Amino acid sequence: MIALWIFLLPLIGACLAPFARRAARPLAIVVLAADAMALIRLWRQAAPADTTWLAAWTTEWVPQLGINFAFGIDGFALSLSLMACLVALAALAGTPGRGEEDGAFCGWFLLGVAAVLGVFLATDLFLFFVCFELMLLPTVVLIVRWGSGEARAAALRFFVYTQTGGLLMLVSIVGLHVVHHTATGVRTFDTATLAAMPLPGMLGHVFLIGFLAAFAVKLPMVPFHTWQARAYACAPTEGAILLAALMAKTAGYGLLRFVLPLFPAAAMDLAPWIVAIGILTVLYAAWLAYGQQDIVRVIAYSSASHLGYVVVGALAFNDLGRTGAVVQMVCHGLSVTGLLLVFAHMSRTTGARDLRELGGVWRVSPSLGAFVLVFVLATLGLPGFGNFMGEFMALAGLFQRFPLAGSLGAIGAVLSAAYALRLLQRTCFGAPTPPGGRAIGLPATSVLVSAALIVGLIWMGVRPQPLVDLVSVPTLTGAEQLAQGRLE
Amino acid sequence: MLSLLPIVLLAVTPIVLLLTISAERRHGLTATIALLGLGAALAAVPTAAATLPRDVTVLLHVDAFGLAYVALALVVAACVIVIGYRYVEVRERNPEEYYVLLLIATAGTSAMAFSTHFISFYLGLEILSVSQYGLMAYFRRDRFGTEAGVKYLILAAASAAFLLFGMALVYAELGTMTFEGMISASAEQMSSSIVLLGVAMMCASIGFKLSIVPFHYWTPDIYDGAPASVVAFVSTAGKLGVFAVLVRYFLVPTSPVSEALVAFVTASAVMSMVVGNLMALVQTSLKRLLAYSSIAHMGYISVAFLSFGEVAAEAVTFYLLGYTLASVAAFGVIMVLSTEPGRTSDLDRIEDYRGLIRQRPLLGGVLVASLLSFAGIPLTAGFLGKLYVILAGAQEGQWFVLAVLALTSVAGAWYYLRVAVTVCSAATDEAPSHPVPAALSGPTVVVLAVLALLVVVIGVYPAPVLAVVDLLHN
Repeated sequence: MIALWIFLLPLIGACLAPFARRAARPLAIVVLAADAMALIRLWRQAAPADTTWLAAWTTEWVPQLGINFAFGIDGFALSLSLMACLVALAALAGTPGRGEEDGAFCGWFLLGVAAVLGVFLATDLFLFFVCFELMLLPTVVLIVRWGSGEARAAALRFFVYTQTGGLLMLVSIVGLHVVHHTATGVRTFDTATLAAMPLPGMLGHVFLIGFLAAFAVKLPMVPFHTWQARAYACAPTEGAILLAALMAKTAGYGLLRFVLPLFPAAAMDLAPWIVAIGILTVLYAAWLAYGQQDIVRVIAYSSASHLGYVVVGALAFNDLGRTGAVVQMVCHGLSVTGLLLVFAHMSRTTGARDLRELGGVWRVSPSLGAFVLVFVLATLGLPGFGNFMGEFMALAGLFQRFPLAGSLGAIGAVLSAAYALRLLQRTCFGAPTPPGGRAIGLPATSVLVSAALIVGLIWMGVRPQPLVDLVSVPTLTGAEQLAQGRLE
Repeated sequence: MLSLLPIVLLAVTPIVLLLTISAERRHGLTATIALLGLGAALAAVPTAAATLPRDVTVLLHVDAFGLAYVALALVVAACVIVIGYRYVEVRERNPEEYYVLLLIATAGTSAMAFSTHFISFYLGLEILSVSQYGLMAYFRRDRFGTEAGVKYLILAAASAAFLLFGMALVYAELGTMTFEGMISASAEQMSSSIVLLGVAMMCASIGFKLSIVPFHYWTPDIYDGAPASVVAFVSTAGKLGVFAVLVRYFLVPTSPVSEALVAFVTASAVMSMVVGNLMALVQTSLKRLLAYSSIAHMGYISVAFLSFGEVAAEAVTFYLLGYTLASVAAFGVIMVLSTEPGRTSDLDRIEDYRGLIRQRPLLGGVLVASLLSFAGIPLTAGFLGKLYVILAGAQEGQWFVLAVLALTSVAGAWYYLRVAVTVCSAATDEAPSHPVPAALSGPTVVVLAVLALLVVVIGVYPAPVLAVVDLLHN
């Protein structure tokens, strides 16, 4: 039952928010905090090496097609759900309100969060798909209604890209269902049941590509990344956090949760190709980030680059790589939120977010500069922050299977240092430019939120063991054991 | 007699209408009687269902499945009357015979739904088509409507001739005029060139009726020119009769499949999806956009016809249900917004709908709900219909066709969303271009709201509806 409530709470909040008007933001924060508390309680109850679901809930939805409304939480889902709740909370707490419009805004935002949580918790493939698609609508609304610049075009492009991937995944999901039905006469969309079914011939490869299409767009992976920078740049800050910190993670989650367990053999076959694209994403997106002038675009490409590590870590098919991928997802969620929040504050107060116009913020407001410094260092993977742990483990795992790819991936760390330091140097150092001189320190709530994010990042960097324990779950290790068996 | 009661009532009502009109010309009275007739026919459906299944001469076969299609057509006609009451009143000084034609058309489509024989099918089709010519050209002040009516008259007459000639050829070779006899013919008989030619001609005619590529050219012009209320009927109820026959006889697992027929359906399904969706992308008129998108929807349904058996039949029925509800709702909104006095054509440009949801939350909401359902966004009836179609296609391993379906649906989602975004965005600085009609009448509001709600409710909790659909096809 608790699994259902974790999904329902933000959904109920989303329905109530429009009526709360000005009080919607506090309401949404309370709802998200309650959700996070529930997750933390679940975590504390969990025995370290718990093999079963921590909580699960199932009821019939469409019995004619064997569709169940089935949620389940294991350590993996728990870690990402908790991150999602906390980051969403930080996004709302760390940005100024929108007055009367806050009701509708928070409603749509919470709907997006609920959909993301649905993706993390769903154990029925159909339900997973519905939640995966449901993320789209709130995002489009947030961008179109509260975005800036070419918001409509950006939102429609984002929609078309993700919809293409999504529909190809739908065909794959239905294909799996039909193959199972033909073989056994039982209609089901249950992930575990479908994963246990052997797929004839090359069907596994075809279906895997369908799934991969959806995740490659969402993550995004090169060459499906062209929607991303525009959408991030046009979205309101909270929307950009929703996209970067929450929705991008659903792709990495889906890769580990669905693609590898459902098609282990096909994934083994295609792993070199997928890893190659992952490494390409890491390097090329970092290269793009270095060339951008818009702060949000730098963050967008850096986020694509960092999530490339998630793909290669997952495809390493070993404990180290997978753990690294999850740690990277959680830490990237925290660090990108911090970056977006402090830079949103900077561009709000200075009226500029172009690197050519900004400068000298440190001298005007050292406190703001300090926060920028910390988040930039976390992003570039300084040891001591969680991002370093994630990238290191993912690359180390990758190196065990694909040494060349592992070595190339390490270059990404150098590139990320280059663009991250450029971001820091252009905004904070030098003589204050006219816009840069207008910068003021973060308000108290934002300081609190940013400090909390930093504590989280450092905790992950110094003591990631609780998280590592949490994500060694049988649903994920099964595919690895199969892969190891095939390798030997 | 009892099993035909709905059709009998449908046939009697126009006569009653004609008599009352000759005595007293009053719009309200005529519409009320027409609605009562439809209501009575709908109420007779359970009575008829108790006697099923039953053959009525060699021409008609009344079964639960056909009856369900008839019921849906009746509901569509009733919705069109309720939503379109003010619309018709504003457009035409003598609107009474409009209802006579509408009811006769409904009777025609119902007769087709029960038909087992070429003759009954053809008669039903003609009854339907001839009333539709009249309906399209009914508003005399609307010259586009007249143009649409004439266009449809010429093309539909040609297509009917094709159908008749095709039937004659099939009869000449197989010696039977029943659909049963046709599908039970041996593969050898079916592959004779005369039968093939006959079947090809029948396919052309049916393709015209359903507006499938390459027989789709009439669709955008008719949708654009004909009154919205008539389009709402023609695009939904007018197709139900044909679909009933196709589902009943050509989705059974045993029918010998001629390879030529499969190739034809594959090609026309793929082309309908591609042409419909791509052409809809560039439209600036809402009615034309809906026309091209309806071609695409027919393409999606055709994918189900590449499969056989229960799932395919359920796919078609469920898809049609979602499509019908959403279509009537969307055209209903167009009708309601096109009722300012003196207007001779429908509110057409997509730009006219900018900011609708702010000014008319209900109308905007209904339009957005139906557009999202058309686009196949999860938790709408349209999405589940699409899922069913993919299921049917996947059963036959039609991966290529399904890939086309997925990719063209993206284009579909794009143009529907574009309209939805326009409806939801703030009106531009200039005065809102769409007229704000006087207060909506209560029944119109209720019908529109119920249609939109159904689209969403069926999408969220489809189990009860699916149970009924299951029952119909077992």
